[in-house]
Amino acid sequence: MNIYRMKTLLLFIGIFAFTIVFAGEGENIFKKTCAACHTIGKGRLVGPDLKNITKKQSQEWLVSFIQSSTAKIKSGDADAIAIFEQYNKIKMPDNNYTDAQIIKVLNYISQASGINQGSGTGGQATAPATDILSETTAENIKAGAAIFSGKQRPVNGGAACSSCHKVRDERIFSSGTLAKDLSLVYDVMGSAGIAAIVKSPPFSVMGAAYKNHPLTEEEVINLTAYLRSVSEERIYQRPTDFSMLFVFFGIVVFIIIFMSTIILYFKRKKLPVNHDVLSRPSKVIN
Amino acid sequence: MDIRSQIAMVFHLDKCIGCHTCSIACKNIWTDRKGAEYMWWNNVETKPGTGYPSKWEDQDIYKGGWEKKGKTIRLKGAGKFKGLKNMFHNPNMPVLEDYYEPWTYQYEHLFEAEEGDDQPVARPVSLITGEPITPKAGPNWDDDLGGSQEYARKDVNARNLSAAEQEAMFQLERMSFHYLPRICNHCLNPACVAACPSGAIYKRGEDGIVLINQKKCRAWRMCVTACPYKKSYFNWNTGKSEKCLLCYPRVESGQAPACMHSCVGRIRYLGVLLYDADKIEAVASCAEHDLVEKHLDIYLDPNDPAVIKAARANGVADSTITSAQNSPVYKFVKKWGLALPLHPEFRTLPNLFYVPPLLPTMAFVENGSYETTSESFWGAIEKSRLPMKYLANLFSAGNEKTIETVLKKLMAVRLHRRNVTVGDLPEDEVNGPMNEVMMDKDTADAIFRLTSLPLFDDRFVIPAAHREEAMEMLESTADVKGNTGFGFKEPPKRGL
Repeated sequence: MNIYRMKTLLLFIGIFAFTIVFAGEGENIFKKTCAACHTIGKGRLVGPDLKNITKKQSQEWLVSFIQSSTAKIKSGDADAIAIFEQYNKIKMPDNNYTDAQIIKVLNYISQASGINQGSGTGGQATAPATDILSETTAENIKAGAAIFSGKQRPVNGGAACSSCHKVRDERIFSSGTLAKDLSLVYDVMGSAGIAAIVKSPPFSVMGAAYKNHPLTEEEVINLTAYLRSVSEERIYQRPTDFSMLFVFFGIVVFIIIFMSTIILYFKRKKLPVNHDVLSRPSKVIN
Repeated sequence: MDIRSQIAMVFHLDKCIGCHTCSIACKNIWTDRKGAEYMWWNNVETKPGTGYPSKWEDQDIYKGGWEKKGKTIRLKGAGKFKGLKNMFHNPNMPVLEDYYEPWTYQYEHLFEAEEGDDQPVARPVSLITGEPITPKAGPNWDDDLGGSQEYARKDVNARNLSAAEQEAMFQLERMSFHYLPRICNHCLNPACVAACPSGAIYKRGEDGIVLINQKKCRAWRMCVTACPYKKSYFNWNTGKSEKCLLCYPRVESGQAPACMHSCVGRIRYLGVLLYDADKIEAVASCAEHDLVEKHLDIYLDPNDPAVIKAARANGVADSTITSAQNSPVYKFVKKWGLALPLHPEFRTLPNLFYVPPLLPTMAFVENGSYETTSESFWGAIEKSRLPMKYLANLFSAGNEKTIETVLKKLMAVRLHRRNVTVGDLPEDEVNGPMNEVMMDKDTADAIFRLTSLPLFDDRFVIPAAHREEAMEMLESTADVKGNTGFGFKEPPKRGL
């Protein structure tokens, strides 16, 4: 084999590998972080379809918006506020990606926009063609409730949803207030949105919690089904509000413990045995 | 039979002059340290009085010792539930005010004071805070205050006396007092050992000395509460409890403990007793009026061949058995029956015995005046100044009969010796009391000699400790034979 052909081949292989690696990173980040809420040419999920987004906005604007949409909205940017209003006032979570990484993601998006040229619908709100919940039954809802409340541990050992989230449901006795109330999440995000978020959470805390404990497909469907049922039945639910009851019980139990301590230690030595001698006023003139 | 040896003591209260030399000897050797200022492993109390710490005998306050529960006994202030309840706040424990705030004087001020119009003084300062204080209590604050309102009348032992008896006790020209020196009793059934949650307190097998392992002590202070004699003290500086160790380094080398060695009145005797450890539970849980009798029964005759055989089989050294045979304590406690344990009702089976004081009980008031004439001075013991009940509360768990017998024996010895040395009494006046307590002249002379003219080695019969054997159990001495030197090797320096 000719040595020059070898060199040329190596050069090509090198360039090819280089492109794959770097194109790959943008795609990876997109799939991991963005795909939960966004599609490229497949219509609206939680957030807008990102097809041709690089043509609609400047790269600078996009980078700063992606890094912190909250800051952008707060800064009074008209476009940012418009998007925020349009998409049910759900803020896009902030992230820690560098400018270079985000640019790679944008590159990937513009690349993918080209591929999906024909099938897109122009970013208007259209639900995905098939709903994952089309074949769910009461069994699914029950299983989803079990996972949500923690009665049933997920197969891969993730935490129960109720550790952090709350829903308006009589069946769930107590639930967390660390994260958002999920009673209305189905109305806002729809089944595809919920499924996408549950599968690979874009939020930093939730992402970290489920990084090594992903939910299975079946569990995702069950949970989504459950959250839909919560949303549908919420007007019939009258869950007890324990917040004041807890305070009340706390006071009662405190009084009981306090009283029993007094009773237990009532017959104790309260003063030194020589108290009367020691407490006598001193005759020493200071 | 499980025969063990126990180093026991006798304090002869008639001989105690209340000089506190024993306390000072002990303090100088053992408790003259930070955190141990208030500790008096040896203290001398005036009775009637409240003692140190104040009212230590009142177990309704301090919950020390054992109490009878059914057929056995239980710790009064410790146990699973009580221990849990009092883990973080133990109200039965004596507080600093129940002892006293130790103090010293600013002696330096006497030398370093600025020149002025007044004499410089050495103010008392607290040894704990360093601040000037006015001392209001001390380890022998009620010293010699045998009739005082604050102390003597609050004596716990006089509590179950009738009002008339109490009044008589404190009548002018009739009141009396005596001293009560106390150290750790190194009990056969120690409550401190039983109460310790860390297992830090132990009773030595070879001589029965009760010690606290300073490395294992975890500052629970259960021993402070549990000891009914309040002879376990908490060192606030080291965070460990400490108690009298019967000067075991001295005893092991054949010397008498410091308090005993220094005793001016020579009231103290030390010797070995052999006892049957199998009987401890039965004795400790018997009825109160039998306590003294049963307690003394646990000590065995060291001259009995069966006892010697059993003792040898149990590993008691021959030298220890010989010491037990010569033990002055055995003579006072068992042979002559003159010494009684202090507060046997605490059921710890103490090994410190007291010859009760005869003098305060003698002489009585007749026709409103203190009778001092020769005939009636040595009068009837029942008519004594100090109620028999009071002494019974101290030494025989309320059994007046026991005390009376002992005092009559002591009286008989005195009458006999008066007859020998002065010879002014009619025969029957001497023989009557002698016969009443079934005492012959030789015994009376022997009691007299050991009481009044004992030699040092008569008072302290200390068995060899056999540390060499103990050492051989721990390490092989052959390993170091021929291998040890002075431990250094340096080339000599030569030249000028």
